[in-house]
Amino acid sequence: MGKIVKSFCFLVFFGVLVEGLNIWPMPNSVNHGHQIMYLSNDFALKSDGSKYNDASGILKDAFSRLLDVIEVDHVIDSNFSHFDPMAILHGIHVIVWSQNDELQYGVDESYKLSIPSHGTQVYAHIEAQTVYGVLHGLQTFSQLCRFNLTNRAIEVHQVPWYIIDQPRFFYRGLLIDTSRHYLPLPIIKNVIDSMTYAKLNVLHWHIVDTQSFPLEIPSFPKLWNGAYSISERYTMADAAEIVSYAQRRGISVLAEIDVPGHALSWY
Amino acid sequence: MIGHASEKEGFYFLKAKSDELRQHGLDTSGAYQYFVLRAQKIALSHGYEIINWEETFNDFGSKLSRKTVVHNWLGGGVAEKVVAAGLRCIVSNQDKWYLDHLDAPWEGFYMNEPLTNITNHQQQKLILGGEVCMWGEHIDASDIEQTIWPRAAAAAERLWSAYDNLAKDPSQVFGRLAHFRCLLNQRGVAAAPLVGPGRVAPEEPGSCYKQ
Repeated sequence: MGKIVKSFCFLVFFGVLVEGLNIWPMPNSVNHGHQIMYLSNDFALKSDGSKYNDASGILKDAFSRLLDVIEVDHVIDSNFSHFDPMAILHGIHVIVWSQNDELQYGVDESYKLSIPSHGTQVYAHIEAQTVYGVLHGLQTFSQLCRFNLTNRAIEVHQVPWYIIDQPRFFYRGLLIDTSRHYLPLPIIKNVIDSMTYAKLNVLHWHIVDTQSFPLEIPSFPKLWNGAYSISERYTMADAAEIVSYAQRRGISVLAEIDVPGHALSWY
Repeated sequence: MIGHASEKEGFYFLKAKSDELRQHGLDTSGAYQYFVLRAQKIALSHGYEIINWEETFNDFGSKLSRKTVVHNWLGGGVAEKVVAAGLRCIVSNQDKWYLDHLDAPWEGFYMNEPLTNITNHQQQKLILGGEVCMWGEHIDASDIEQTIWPRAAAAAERLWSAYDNLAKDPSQVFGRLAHFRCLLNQRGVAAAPLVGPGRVAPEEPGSCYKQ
């Protein structure tokens, strides 16, 4: 109980709570309590009963990234023998109803997330129609976790949680422009990762324009001579890798190639 | 599959070819329209969805394929005309949702409502959503992250959250968005402070949560 009071004071001190919630973007429906759970040091992904077999590894990789963003490079060296075993969260149990992980406009992105407040061998639960709904649920879960610098554990405050969520619009885009300035591939991947934190789901890639043509077009191999330099270019395989990287994170890539007019770079 | 074409630019290309066009009985705007409508047919025949920047709708909207998605950018008030004409629309009005406009504050990104003046339920369904645009003339790998964030996050809540959950006054979400900005920083994303215009440096020493 002492810990609960202490954490509460900490948050009020910084004045960052709006009606007790710090989730962005705000989910559709949120209910929560006022207790704390601690993430087990072998926090695990479980998917018993799920129809989705994750042959592509989308879910497994997303869970691995989840651990990275909730640990954010802190050393997790808490002594778990000091914690109430009924307050340990052992992992996340994911149920996906659809086997299909094709990412198309209008794919079901809804999810339900629940986190219990106590029990033996307790897991959080995420239920969704598609794996892409689960990805959003994992993002929301990550925002409920915080590293406690006193006990060196990752905590989930305000349990139990019960969240039901879905997007208002299917198209939530960000445009990037690799013609006016070339963007190296790791920068594009970083942008894609950051988009997932805010639940954006379309990367509109304005690849070429008047100023430069950085993309390889195998059937017209001279086109990318319109790039700024020999190195400021993307091979077709690079572009395919960006599309795949985004898709595995629930983000569609909308590729745009300009036609004559904004085409001085190659005309 | 989706194709996005910048047709308006075809117009300027064609100007340079105006003599040849006259031989075919076309003026430049006629040739521009011919080009767009022909490109639409080709894209549709390959099974692509087609998205046009809004100029094609503004100039000859009645002739566009009824499957066209119109991508608004020039300003507010276009989306309502697009859906009234029965076409689908993506909202990116530059006065509010262009990230390269460094004087566009996060509050404007948050408050930009895609369904403004669209009350008919069937027409509301034609608004697919919206997009914030990070045009690259004045940014590169050195500052793209802080130009995108946190302002793109403000728009992301507008696009994700149920309308009734959205704040009517952006000052109500300052603390929560500041918290998200700090979360991005903790995750290694160079999101800029909220206080001040786009990608501004922090004004004074102080907590991340208050900037």
